[in-house]
Amino acid sequence: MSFLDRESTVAGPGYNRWLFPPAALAVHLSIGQVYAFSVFKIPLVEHFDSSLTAIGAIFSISIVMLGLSAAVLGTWVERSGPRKAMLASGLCWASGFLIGALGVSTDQLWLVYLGYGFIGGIGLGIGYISPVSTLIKWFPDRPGLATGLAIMGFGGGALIASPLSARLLETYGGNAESPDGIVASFLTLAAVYAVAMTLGAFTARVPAKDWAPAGFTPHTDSHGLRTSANVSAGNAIRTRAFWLLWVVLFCNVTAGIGILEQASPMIQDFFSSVDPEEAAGFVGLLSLANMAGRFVWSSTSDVVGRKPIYMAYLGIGAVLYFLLASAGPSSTFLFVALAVVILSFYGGGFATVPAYLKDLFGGFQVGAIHGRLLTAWSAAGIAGPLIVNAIADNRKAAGAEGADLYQLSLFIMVGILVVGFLANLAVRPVPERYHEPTDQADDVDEAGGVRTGSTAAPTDLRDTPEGARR
Amino acid sequence: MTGTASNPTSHRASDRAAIPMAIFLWVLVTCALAYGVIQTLAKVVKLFS
Repeated sequence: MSFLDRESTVAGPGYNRWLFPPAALAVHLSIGQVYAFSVFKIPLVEHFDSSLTAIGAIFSISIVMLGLSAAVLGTWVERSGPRKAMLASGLCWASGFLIGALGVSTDQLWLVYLGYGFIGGIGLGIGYISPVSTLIKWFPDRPGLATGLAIMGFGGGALIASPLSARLLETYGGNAESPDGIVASFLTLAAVYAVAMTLGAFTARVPAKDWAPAGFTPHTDSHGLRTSANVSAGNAIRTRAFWLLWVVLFCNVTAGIGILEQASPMIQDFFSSVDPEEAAGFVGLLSLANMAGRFVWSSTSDVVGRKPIYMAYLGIGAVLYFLLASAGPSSTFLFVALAVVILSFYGGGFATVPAYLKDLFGGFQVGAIHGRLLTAWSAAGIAGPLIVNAIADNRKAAGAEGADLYQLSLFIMVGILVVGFLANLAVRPVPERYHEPTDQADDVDEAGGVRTGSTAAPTDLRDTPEGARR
Repeated sequence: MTGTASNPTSHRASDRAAIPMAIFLWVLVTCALAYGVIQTLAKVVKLFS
């Protein structure tokens, strides 16, 4: 199985770097299906004669496993290279559907939790981070554009899977008594995604150690937050910069996911003239904004810098949220326009973070560091909907209706974004004592090996500005 | 440019084989994305109609 190893995927001279992004996109478009899981919610509720909460737990388990597996397996992904990681991801993701189909056909919900939720969720985590560090190595001159392109696929996956799944359910038929439609749809999706992800894995190539794009001169010195040094994943989580970025990502995702999760009922509560079909159009528009923002804003960050663009995501985002809460109810167009920009910032925050990590920690183990940072996503996935839903329920119990149900939670989101803005403002370069020795970092980088117990391990774990100036 | 692989000839063959697959994948992901965007835009139209 050596052909799966990182060493076997090193590209020869003259290999065109634009041949790698479709591999990354194939994986991200496949795993992005998870955001379209809601298509199966009602059929599954009817089939298992269960509650929305019990079926919703399938999605929650998969998202929690995404964050956990990305954090735990990040260093393995970095060491193994993109081909092995993408194949492992495809195996888990397709197996998740197969085991889920078995659970549906045998009326055992726990098998769906295990399959789609647990095993599929591991596939999500591995797949999400698998192309990131390779993209950054192929595009050292435009890391924001490269990672934005791939992570845009995760947003786009739902756009494809949502109508596709609805069409499959319609084609295969089935009802609550006969689960044939769900089972056949799961089996079809398993086959489609297994093929797409395998093709992606076998197309994956990593650049040779001394490869650089024509005309690109690697930075040999550090400017602002951008370092020419490398920090291991083990050391990165000891730095203040990592945890500040964790807060930044958590705040950005919490605010965005709060709207995204409640988009359809929210617009119908704000404007009684909006019917469910029009609300579905609003959800679709937000999905497009989320996807486009990943590519557009992340690419823009290559020009304006990572810290300034996060100041825009969080600072302008806070203003837009304030306007949404205060002036949003006055006009449907204004409400939709504000929500579209907010969701584009949400997507941009996801897509820009790998490039931000590369600036701060170097490209050495950026995939593994990214994996650890994604725990912020898992936490925000719980916090965002909890804030919006709990407040809406309380307000409804108090007799409130319409926009009043959401205004308080939107103002809370303004506060959360301000916290994120301040955290981003406090990000400083990583002190030298966390840097890898140059020669050893190069050796390990080439082999894709891991050395978390680095010789550069700090004796003083305080990440102080004084240390940064040393 | 030097890679870690020991056999440059097999590298070149492997790279050549990857090119048509990568081009096919570009077409596949572009068509898939276009399908998703068109389907979604059809819904969005209803919001403004």
